[in-house]
Amino acid sequence: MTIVSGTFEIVVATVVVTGRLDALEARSLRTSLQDHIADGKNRIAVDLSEVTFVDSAGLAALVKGMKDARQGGGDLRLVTPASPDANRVFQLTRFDKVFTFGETIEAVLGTW
Amino acid sequence: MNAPATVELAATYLALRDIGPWLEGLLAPLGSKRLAELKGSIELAVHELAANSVAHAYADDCKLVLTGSLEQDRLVVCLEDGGDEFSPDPTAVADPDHPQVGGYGLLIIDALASSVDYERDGDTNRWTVAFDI
Repeated sequence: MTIVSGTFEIVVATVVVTGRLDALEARSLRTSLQDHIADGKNRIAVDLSEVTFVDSAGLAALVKGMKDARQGGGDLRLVTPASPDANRVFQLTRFDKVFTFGETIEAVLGTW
Repeated sequence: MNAPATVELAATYLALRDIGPWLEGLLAPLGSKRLAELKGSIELAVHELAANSVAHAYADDCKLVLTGSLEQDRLVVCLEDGGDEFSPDPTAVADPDHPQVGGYGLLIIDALASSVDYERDGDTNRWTVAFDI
């Protein structure tokens, strides 16, 4: 018998968003997520804890990132917004059941 | 019923950030507690409506005109713009296996408003959205 031990390090890219994630800012987030995925980082944690408002364009940027990450074998997971106003769009569109959420960035990183 | 309040916005995503403060003024007679309860959801719906107008306002000088009327048990917001006639895209549904990237604006508005009406009047799009308060 031969036993070979080793370690495998998982790289998770983190993106912190603050303020309003609306149609004005969604393109910047989409570009940031695409850059990580193009760089081979298909596991991405997006911290939305300090986001105050999310609209459908912001949601679309996150969904696009999640789809691209999953196609690469990874995932895009979210830190839950503290603001109920920022959470609303996920609940209304049922994406609260599609994304994996955690209460803190450490909790999200711990899901991998 | 309070007198209608009107605000004119440039057809840009930056200008849509004036919707929240405008709504705060409109809902102020309800008191700070009720304002805090209502403002977020109403802002999201009106923002989605206006963002749709911005996306289809092809002329640089296109304006959006918002008029709000606070009635006894509802808020009525009318949005007028001179953009292209509204043509609905299929409304998306969140599906874990096949999530769509867009198409959630109308779904959000429908979920938050008690009624949503659209009419094309000459070269003007007119949306009338009511919210129970």
